Amino acid sequence: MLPGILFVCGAVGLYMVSFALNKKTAAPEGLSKIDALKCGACQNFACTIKQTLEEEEAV
Amino acid sequence: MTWTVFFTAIFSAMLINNVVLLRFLGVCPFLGVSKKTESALGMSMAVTFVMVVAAAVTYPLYYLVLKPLEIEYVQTIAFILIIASLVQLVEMFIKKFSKKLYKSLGIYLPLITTNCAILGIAVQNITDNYADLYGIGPGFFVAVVTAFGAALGFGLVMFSFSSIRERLDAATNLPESWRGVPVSLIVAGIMALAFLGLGGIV
Repeated sequence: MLPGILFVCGAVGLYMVSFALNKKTAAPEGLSKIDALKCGACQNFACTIKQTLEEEEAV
Repeated sequence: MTWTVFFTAIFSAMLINNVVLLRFLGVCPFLGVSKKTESALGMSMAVTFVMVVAAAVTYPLYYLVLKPLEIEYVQTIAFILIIASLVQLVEMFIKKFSKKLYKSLGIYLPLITTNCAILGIAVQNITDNYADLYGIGPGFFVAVVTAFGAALGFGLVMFSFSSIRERLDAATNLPESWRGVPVSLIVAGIMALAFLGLGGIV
């Protein structure tokens, strides 16, 4: 049981680190703003791009 | 093990056990990102890349870590987290080193985190027991080739479906109530039936 819990904790930690590193890495010049038209078709509620666009629209 | 095994694995994963139309995995991007051929191709390329890398990581992880530690029961959550981390790392590297690749794949990479086809193929590689059939080492190559075949099948279906949808959007003699999602679902059903016909080949 303990190895399983430790493994899952490690995997969660790995995800958190990779997420933070990805967030810190700046997008290439001219590509920081994602074209809203390009991802208008998908209704994926978990998509972070869509959430960001909605937040920007609300502001 | 011969080349026949690899070709059978690719052919079978691409057409006979098509991940979208016969196993109903990855239906979200199939319906969501298939309005334009360009988007469908971008999504397919990103899925191919991540699916192959995910298979190459999850297969050894299972046989070298989870199985020896007897913690196979955390397989699903472990694979989800590993695939999600992998997508983040891949996106980070692409951002950093290839502007061109980021421009074409960048928008689709976050969507892949929630693509169940990636997880489905990673789990299938374990449940199909390639390690017992071919040994852990050769089984790894069969797993990666299977993932590549499944990704090709995903791309094939995405491309053909998006092409049909583009033509249907331009059609003028389609009843109003059929436009959009209804006719797309009918097309998807007919495509699934067509792929079902390939069932007895291998």
